[in-house]
Amino acid sequence: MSLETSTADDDSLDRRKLRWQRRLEAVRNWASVLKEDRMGQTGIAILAVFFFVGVFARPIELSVGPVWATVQPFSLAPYEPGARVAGTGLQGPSWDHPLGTTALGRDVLSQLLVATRVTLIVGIIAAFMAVFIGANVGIISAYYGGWVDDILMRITDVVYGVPFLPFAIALVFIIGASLVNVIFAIVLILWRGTARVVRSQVLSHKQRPYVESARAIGASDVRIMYVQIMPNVLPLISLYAAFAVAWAVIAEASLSFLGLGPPGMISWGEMIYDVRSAGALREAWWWVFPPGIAIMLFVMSVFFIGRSLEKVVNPELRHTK
Amino acid sequence: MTLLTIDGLQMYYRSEAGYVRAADDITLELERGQTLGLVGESGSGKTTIARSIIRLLPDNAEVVDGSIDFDGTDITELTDRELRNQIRWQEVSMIPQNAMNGFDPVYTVGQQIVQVIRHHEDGVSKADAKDRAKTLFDELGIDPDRVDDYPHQFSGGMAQRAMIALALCLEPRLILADEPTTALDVVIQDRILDTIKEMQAEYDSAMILITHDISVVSETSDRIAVCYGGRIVEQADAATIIKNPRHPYTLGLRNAFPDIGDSDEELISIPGTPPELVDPGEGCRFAPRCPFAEEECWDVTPEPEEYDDGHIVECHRADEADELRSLAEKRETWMDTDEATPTPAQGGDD
Amino acid sequence: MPLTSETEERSARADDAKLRLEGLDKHFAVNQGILSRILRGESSQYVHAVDDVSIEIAEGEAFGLAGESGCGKTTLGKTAIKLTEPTDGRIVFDGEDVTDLSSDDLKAFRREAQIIHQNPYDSINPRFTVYEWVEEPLIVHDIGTPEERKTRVLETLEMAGLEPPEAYAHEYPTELSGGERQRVGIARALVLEPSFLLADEPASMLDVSIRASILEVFERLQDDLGLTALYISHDLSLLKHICDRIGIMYLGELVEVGPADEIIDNPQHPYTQALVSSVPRLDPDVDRERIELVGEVPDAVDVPSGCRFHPRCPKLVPPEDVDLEQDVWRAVANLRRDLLEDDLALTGDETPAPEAIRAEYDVPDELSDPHVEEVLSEALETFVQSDDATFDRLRETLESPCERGSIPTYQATDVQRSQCLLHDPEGPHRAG
Repeated sequence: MSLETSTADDDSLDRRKLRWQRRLEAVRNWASVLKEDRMGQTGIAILAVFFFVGVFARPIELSVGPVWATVQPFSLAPYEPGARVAGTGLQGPSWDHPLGTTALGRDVLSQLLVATRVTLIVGIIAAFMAVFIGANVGIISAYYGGWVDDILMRITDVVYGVPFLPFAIALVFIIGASLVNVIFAIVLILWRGTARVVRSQVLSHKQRPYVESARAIGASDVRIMYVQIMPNVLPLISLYAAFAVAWAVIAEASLSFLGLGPPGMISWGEMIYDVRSAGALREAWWWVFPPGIAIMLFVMSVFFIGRSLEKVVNPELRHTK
Repeated sequence: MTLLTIDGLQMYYRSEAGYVRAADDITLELERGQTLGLVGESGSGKTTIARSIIRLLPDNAEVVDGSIDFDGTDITELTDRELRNQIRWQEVSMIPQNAMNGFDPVYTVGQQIVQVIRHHEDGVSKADAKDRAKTLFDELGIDPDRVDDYPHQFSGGMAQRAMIALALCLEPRLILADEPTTALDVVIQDRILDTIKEMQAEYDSAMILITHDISVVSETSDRIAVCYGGRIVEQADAATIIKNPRHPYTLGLRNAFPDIGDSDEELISIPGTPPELVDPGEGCRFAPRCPFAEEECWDVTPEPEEYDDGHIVECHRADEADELRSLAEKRETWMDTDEATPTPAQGGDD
Repeated sequence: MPLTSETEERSARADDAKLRLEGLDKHFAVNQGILSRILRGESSQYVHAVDDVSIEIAEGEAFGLAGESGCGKTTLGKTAIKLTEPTDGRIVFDGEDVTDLSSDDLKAFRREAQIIHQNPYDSINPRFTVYEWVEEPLIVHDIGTPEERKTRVLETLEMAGLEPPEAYAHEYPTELSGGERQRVGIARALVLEPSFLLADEPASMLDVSIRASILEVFERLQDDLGLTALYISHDLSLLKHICDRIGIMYLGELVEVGPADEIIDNPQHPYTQALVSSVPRLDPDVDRERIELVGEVPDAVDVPSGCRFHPRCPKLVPPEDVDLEQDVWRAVANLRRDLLEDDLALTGDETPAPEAIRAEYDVPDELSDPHVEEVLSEALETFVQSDDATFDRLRETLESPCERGSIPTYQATDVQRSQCLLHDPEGPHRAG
């Protein structure tokens, strides 16, 4: 009763502070694992470079109705990636063009930098959508069980049986190649892994007495799933999100390499496709290797980060002490 | 005749914060064929004491001082190999709390018993060893044909019996029973304890029975030692501990324990939580929870003192036991201690 | 005579009954999942967790449910507060039928009936602080402003014995001891100010000295708040101390119910007698008389016919025309059962002589009742040839009344009711 003087504002402030403290703690926990994990550090460094490049490769302009605004004026890329800057076409590396030019006389370095943005957008959006769907399917399937589980898991099984490339080729062929459709094709396949893993985790959490305690106080199913169980599965979900990003990037590259990438946008896969269709795979090493290495580095960095996240999720993997 | 003498044993665990004094200045004697009950709450050191006899302890355990004399051999001086070949299982065997964990799930129970017999005794054929296993099963009231079953095919009570068979197959001179019936229902508990007593009499084995249930030791033990905070605070023959205890902790434990034979006794809890065993400092470890603690209790560790015949108590006020006993029966006595309410700062109780 | 006046009595007392269970059943399907049933072609078998249990708990009463693990006591408790749906029967709470409730009514019912779990380590969500955990019920039921909720949460924490409450509010469960966590569980259950509390083994995982303090909290709460409580425990001595009445369960059925002291000091049902006799006594001078039971608790899927305790009962009723000592009769019944089920427990591999079988089952070589002797020895002789007629005769002539039909509940003493033919005032052979 002595606490009646404290105001509601104080209270909510307290709570907000507490919540932030807890988040900070989680980050600190990861940071302490990271401190002894060279791979994780490397991953983060590489990824940071990619993000920097993605944002600053070309200026970003936003249009709202008739108003245009340049949000980000810097440009790392020395040339417009689509502009023919060298009349003679295919050229090896030089001072003007450190990574040479394409068969159409475009600057490879500029293309590489700009492609980073497309790759990041596709990878991140597709991965998060897939994980969002997968996590929800997993939670709902495990929580309700019975026929809901039966149906959702049989659908998951079917999706597991679908080979990605033939499916994506057919789909993009039917609905047309665009950024949205490529993401759509990736998401349709990618959610299955997360759904399985989240389901098995939720199944084990569902049995714990704290869930029964939540039912006993009259909490709704939605509340039990998303307020009680979800926070306990979240570390695992974030781990899967990291891996999904890597997978989505590879998927996008594969589609683009087959010429099914979003038209009018340059991605790393698209660049390799261009090399091949120009028939320059053998001679133009400066054109093939940069996008190939970029894909490899990106996927590698995400996996490195995933591995260190895994140590946070599953402390038994920490052998250091 | 004395079988086991533990003298001033200090078994500590190394930890980042320093030594955890899990068993401190333990002095015990056990006669042949006798049963000693070790009573205490979790973290009181009762399991550490028993396990140090066969050195079944975590890697960070260390004997800092003292000796364990088993029939003329100082066990603390033996190498791991000697201990394994001469003492463990052959002379001293163990019945764990959870029998299922004691068995290897990929072998039948019979195979495991045969293995133990043939490992420790030379020149026993497989068939003979199996026959011995079957005879043991029969004596323990299990269908002998079940030696060919896997551990998971046994119910809890049956698995515990099979574990007893495994513990007894070499006719050890000392059995360590660590909460052998805690996980079982009363009807089965009663039967298992009965069986253990019978087999113990048959082989003339001594036994150390570890439990938190005073009524179980009261019925099965000749002698009882009460553990608190890594020390044995009181030991005497069973009837004395139950009827004429002198240590305030024993008095408190008695109050907190519901007895089915007592109609309208009131349950009184002991306030506070068990002590931290890292660097506990001088003074009686029960002092913070003891309603009778005086200044001396906080500063000076009480020395063991012997009353009557073999009734050893570590308490500065043990002389006033008669008076304390009547005070301890009152609820008010236990309500006014300084740390009557636990605070989170004191940490966990296990 | 079964109590025909039972229903009248019920309606007369209906007003002060807080919770009334009428013929409650709870069966679990052994193999769940429609698809697996279709694909594997498995027929559905059921675990008889709770079978035809009727209990009445009065306002303010402390009722204890005891029995061995697997007897269905926890399932009964959870069904009573609707954490699982009953298969059949009725649950009446505060005079209202709550067996089938709409989700709104169910939510209202949840405010009245709360549960405290056995395991203090697993029953708090590790992602919640003490404060959040205790506040959650108030948020779910949309009670009070944040300010009012804070006051109430802190008061409740204090009531559960966590003092000062502010010191605990922002702790995570992993930072607390077992006793403290159990108090957090109590606070969460109490914050909604329920009138009924189900405590499922509330102290079994705590140390003795702490256990008593948790029970003190319960006793104080019952006195101060007038709570009605249902305690579930395997520990009879504990129930004797905290309960007004005790019900004993065996294999899904309620076999005896009565005042706590009477159940412990003067048990009527043979199972209760055996259960009570196996509890160790503290007083070294008391030499308790142990009642030995045959075998172990059977599987709850394939329950014995008639009285479920009959295969193990030391007081098994012999057929009317059989004249044998009780322990000889029990031995004969054991042998008969194993013969009929072709499940003889024998040491050797080859089929032994009838004498050896008798010795194994402690059946004397010559029974005092000539008729039984004839039937039994004939069955043992023909055992090898498996003569159906002899076995039928063994089955029929030596059938105990306890094996037949369903056993009604009788008034065993003025205050105790027991589900056992021995308490039929007209004798155990009346039914036929």
